[in-house]
Amino acid sequence: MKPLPAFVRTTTFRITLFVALLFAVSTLAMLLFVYQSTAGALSRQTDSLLTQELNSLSSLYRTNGINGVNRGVVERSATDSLYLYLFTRATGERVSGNLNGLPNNAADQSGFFRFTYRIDAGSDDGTAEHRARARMIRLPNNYLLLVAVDIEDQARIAGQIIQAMWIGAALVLVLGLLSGALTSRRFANRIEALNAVARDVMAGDLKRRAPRNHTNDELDELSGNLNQMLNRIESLMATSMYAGDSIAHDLRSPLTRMRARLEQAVREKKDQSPGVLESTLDDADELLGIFNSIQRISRLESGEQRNVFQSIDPAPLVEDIAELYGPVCEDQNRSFGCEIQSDLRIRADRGLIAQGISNLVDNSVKYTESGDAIMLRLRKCRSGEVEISVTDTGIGVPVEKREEILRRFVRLEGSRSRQGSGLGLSLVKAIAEIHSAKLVIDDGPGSEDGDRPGLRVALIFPRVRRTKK
Amino acid sequence: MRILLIEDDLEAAGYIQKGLTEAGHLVDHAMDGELGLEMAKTAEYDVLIVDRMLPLRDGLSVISTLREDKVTTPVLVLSALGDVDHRVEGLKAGGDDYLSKPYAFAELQARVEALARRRDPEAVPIRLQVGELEMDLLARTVHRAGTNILLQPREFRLLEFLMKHAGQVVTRTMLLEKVWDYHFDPQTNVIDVHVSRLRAKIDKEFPTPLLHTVRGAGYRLQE
Repeated sequence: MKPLPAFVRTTTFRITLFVALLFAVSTLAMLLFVYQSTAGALSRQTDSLLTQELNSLSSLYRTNGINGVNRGVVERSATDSLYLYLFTRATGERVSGNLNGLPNNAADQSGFFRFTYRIDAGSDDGTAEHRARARMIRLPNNYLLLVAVDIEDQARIAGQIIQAMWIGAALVLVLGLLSGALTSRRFANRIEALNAVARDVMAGDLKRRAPRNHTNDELDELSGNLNQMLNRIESLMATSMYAGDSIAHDLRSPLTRMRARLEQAVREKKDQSPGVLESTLDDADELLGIFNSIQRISRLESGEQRNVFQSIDPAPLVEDIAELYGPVCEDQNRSFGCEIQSDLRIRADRGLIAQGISNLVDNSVKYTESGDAIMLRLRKCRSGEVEISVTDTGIGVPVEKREEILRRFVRLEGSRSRQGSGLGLSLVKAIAEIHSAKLVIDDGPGSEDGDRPGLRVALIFPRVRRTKK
Repeated sequence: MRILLIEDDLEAAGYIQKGLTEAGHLVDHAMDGELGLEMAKTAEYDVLIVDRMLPLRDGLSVISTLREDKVTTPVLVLSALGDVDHRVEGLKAGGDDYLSKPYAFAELQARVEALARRRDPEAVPIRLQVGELEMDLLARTVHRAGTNILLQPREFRLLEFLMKHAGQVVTRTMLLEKVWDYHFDPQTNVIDVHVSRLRAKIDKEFPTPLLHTVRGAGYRLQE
């Protein structure tokens, strides 16, 4: 057997088919009703006319006997009346009336029945066959009385109505199926386009995107969402691929150092190389530190913690960091200042924010020189947002590199010699994202000699409506 | 002191057992949660070291069952899960301290010894003394050999912690956690800076130093 075309198997087609059938059935029901109330009504009317006429003739029998009936039939047949009459003996011998003889099917009929008779066509082509409806009664002494009405016109109209009914129902069915096939094929084509994209993506082509027709109907919306999902997957893949490369790259140097030292220790036989084990431990710690940071960032990026944030006043937290880092800065000959506005609200996790700010201050200490200044600031913006920023007068970051330094393991040329894994700002970025905070990097105020631009890194938290207790 | 180590990683357990035994402690080892629970209930230990992920019975369940049975032995939770949430879970289950893997042995030892000291929680001291260094916790004053030493609030808390653990090694991470309540490692040695400031105040003018640096581990306040 030939397989059915694809659209026939679709849900839409099945639904349309069902609807078309339902529609055809209801159309049929409606036409039946119309038929009943037109052709049906006409024939009921005919029947009551026949009954009336028979009643009037049989009342003649009661008053004047058989002769009375005969006279009545003869008189009425002579007028140009609506009725056809036949008065016969039981043998079928015609007594009077304007019909020639009993119809063939009359013998076994009682009550109403239908027959055909020939009639003068009026013109030259002789007779025509007409349908008539009759009622017959038996009178005493085996006389039969038949009254009929020509229903040829009526029957023709009823036939036309019935024909129209069937054609109509068939038309509805065909149109329904046709439109069902069309819509479902259209729908199936669009779904198939989406499926094709999904298959291509599964096969590894992450660049494929679903077609949009921008009508914003539900399929278009589905395509849009699918595309956004693919964009997200692609960027995640890119990030993790990049991170994988960078991890390999960054772990290589401490591991190489470790290996070299151990090799040297083996060569020189244990005790003759003092400090080898200690520095190897330091290297191992550095490696573990890198892994810890990566794990922390990954967990933050997965967003699990988001729902445990509370509304807090950031001032004590920023003060604590200032207190922790003030002495460190002084010891390293950086002047440290802070401006802290109190009684603000942010929705945050204290530990994460502390870690973020601590990373920023760490960076400032790292990328400034003796005599530079570092400023920690907490304030409310005009927009109602809360800003925590660390500003320094150090070497700064060129505008075009500011996106780059947020990525994992990125360390700019010239800073590779300094301590650090290149994860500090990535962690700050992850912390900002999980708090729905913006991370903004600007020039600082500039150093005194004007040679270096300095740097300002700010976390801008969305405003928090005070919750009712 | 007697320590019960519940840990299924044989190599890690052997290494901890050896280290603590060398430090003069008596260490029993249980390989799974059920056995560990049984041993912790039947024998008297000064400290329990419990790994979070154990066969037969999960580490946190061991701890909460012990706490339901009114066993108050201090517990150090070891875990490969190092995040703040996990730490909170560990402490909620009844753990007294939490150490995430990997850790330095010195860190583990310092924390185990610090925990054993905490056995007597009712006795809230109002005065601490280490040699000629005295701290009055009510008046919040510090004297050494009769000389009043002025400390910043944070320095006071730092010294208080060191004095409460006098004679023991206290690591930088412990100080960051207990004195500052931070659970991350700053890249710069912020703790060293604060300890050296404190040292300048309590040791500089005096002939014998009290606050010692323990190489590779941390600090110790001792006569």
